Amino acid sequence: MFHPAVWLLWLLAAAVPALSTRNPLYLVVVLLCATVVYQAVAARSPLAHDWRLVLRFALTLWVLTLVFDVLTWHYGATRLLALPDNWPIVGGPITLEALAFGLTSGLALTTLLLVFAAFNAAVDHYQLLRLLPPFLYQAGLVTSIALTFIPQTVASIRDIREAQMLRGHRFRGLRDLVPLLLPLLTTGLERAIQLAESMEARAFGHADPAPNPRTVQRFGLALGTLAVCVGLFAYTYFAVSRAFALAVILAGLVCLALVLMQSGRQRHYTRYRRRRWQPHDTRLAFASALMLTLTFARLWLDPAALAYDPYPAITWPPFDPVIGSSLLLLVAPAWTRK
Amino acid sequence: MPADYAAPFRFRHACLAIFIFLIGLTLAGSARADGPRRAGLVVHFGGGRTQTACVAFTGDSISGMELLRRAGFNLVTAYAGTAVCKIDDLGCPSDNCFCQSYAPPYAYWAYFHSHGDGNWSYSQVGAADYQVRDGQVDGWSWGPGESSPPPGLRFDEICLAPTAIPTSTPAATSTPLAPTPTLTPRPPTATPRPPTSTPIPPIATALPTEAPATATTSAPPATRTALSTVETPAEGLPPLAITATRRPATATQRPLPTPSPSVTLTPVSTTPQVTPSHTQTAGPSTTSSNTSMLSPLSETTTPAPQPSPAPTAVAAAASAAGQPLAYGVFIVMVVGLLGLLVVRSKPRG
Repeated sequence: MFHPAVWLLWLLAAAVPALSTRNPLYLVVVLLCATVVYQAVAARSPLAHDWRLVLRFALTLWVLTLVFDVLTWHYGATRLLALPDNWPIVGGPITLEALAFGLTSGLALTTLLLVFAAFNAAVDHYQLLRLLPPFLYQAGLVTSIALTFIPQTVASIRDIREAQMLRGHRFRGLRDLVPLLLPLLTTGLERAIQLAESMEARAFGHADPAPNPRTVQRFGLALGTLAVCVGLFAYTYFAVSRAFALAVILAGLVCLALVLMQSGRQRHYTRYRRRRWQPHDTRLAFASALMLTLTFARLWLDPAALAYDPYPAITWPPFDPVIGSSLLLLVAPAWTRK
Repeated sequence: MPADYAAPFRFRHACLAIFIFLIGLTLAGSARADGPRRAGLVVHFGGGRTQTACVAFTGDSISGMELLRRAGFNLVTAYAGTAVCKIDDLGCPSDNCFCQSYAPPYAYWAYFHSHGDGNWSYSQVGAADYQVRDGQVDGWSWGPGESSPPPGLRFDEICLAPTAIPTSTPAATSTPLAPTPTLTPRPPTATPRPPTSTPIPPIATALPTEAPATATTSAPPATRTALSTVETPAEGLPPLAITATRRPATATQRPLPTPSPSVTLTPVSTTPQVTPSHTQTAGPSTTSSNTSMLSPLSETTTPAPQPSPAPTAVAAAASAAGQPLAYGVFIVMVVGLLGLLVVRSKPRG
């Protein structure tokens, strides 16, 4: 398997086209690539969900999008049929463009869903959290605890429900939820206290108290944030000084990065089960980066390269073989070391 | 006991009322759907300069862009004909369609709708995607957008003549400013009219081909009026040359040549600006509904029907050249990926 950072890069490379285009041809290519990757990954991963479950969810989403689009969006040149005008919301012409838009929107959603399904099957959340930089240590800790609590809570809901049903309790209305929720609350509190005690028993947070951030750091943090905000505002509202605004944003970001790195260096954190970088990680990273570079270069040359819009009158979606073949690079993770 | 049978009695009445209401709705709908459609247009150039137009069209509705185009304005559009950059002489070039919206004073051609009552609502979709229906008014205003709607003109102020003529003939003739059509309704048989009949503007479809030659001035469908001031829209009475016909609203009845109340118009023009040569003789055919008639009162506007720029056609032609090959590549890619899926799933299954 690959390094989590490489998987993140692959996710970025796959999600950029899935999020930025409505062209069904590109979406189909990305969708098929994600399916191949999922199939390769899921065979060896304990994290994989049932593929049919993912597909069923995606199809439901697709149908909902389609129905909503077709019934509520009455614009476009090609009319298929017309509902009476005096019907609220759904009344009006039903157009082929709305149908096409619903189909492509649903396809985009499905593609994104499958991309994330493949990513989730490949990478453990805890591996991802270990990638966090040191200054985000607290946030990472909280997130990992929360992530552990979710499946535990689901399991305890099931347990409590079973126990109550054994006692003859039947769940019919909202009022019957009280015997379920009260024990859930108490078990949750108990578990939290237990975790806190066990962490304290392992001397968590006792070794050296977190040093107070220095005045320079506080000042730098505030200054960097202010610079980013002012820059964004200037970029949005004053067209004349675009370059200046970008410079201000960049300066703010550099300031923030310096301060955060500095504050992260004050304490030393060890990492648990660090994963080694291996040659095939480099290969996948190269493939993903190449795909991203090709796509952005194409977009830079022709900003409308990925655009497809059925309105006002439907046309066949264009297909650019260069973009299409660069999308094929997404299938790279399917060749992992056996 | 009375309550026992009163309830079904009331219920039956309610059913009957609903039934009659539904039938009335259907009749009203069919009666309205019968005539030709007209939509109004208000273009506000800012600074008290406003032009209005009344456009007749066939079919259920036309797009807002088509309405603007048929009214005879010079348009410069961008983004495959979906964005309006310039109307007549005011606006931006096509390659920088919103050139005035980057720095104050912000201005662009903002697009509004109204249902004919003079209340404007800022459009949520582009003009090419919006369908204008009979009796609606579209507005274009050069300004900072939602906060500067065009002047609130009602539909009957813009498309005024056909509704005014049959009811108030003496009032119309007494107006000195506008060239007023005098009406001589020939057969008085058209007077009995059903209550749901809406005043139907003159139409070529109602008149058969063997109509008298005087009916050739029928319905110039697009009338464009220049208003000098916003507050006095009534002065801009468009000199519509119109054969006002009002026929019974039963949808099935076809007007026969003999009783068709064709009304001849003799424009009594008092103002020297009005040139009768503008009255284009639209023959009694529905296809010629694009003719526009201009009646400048305070300023002279050139009619100059503008050939619509068609960037879509150019783009389509450019992209269509290499498309079969590209689609071939796409099919090969999809087949390859599907084959990969099948091949890789076999040993494990």
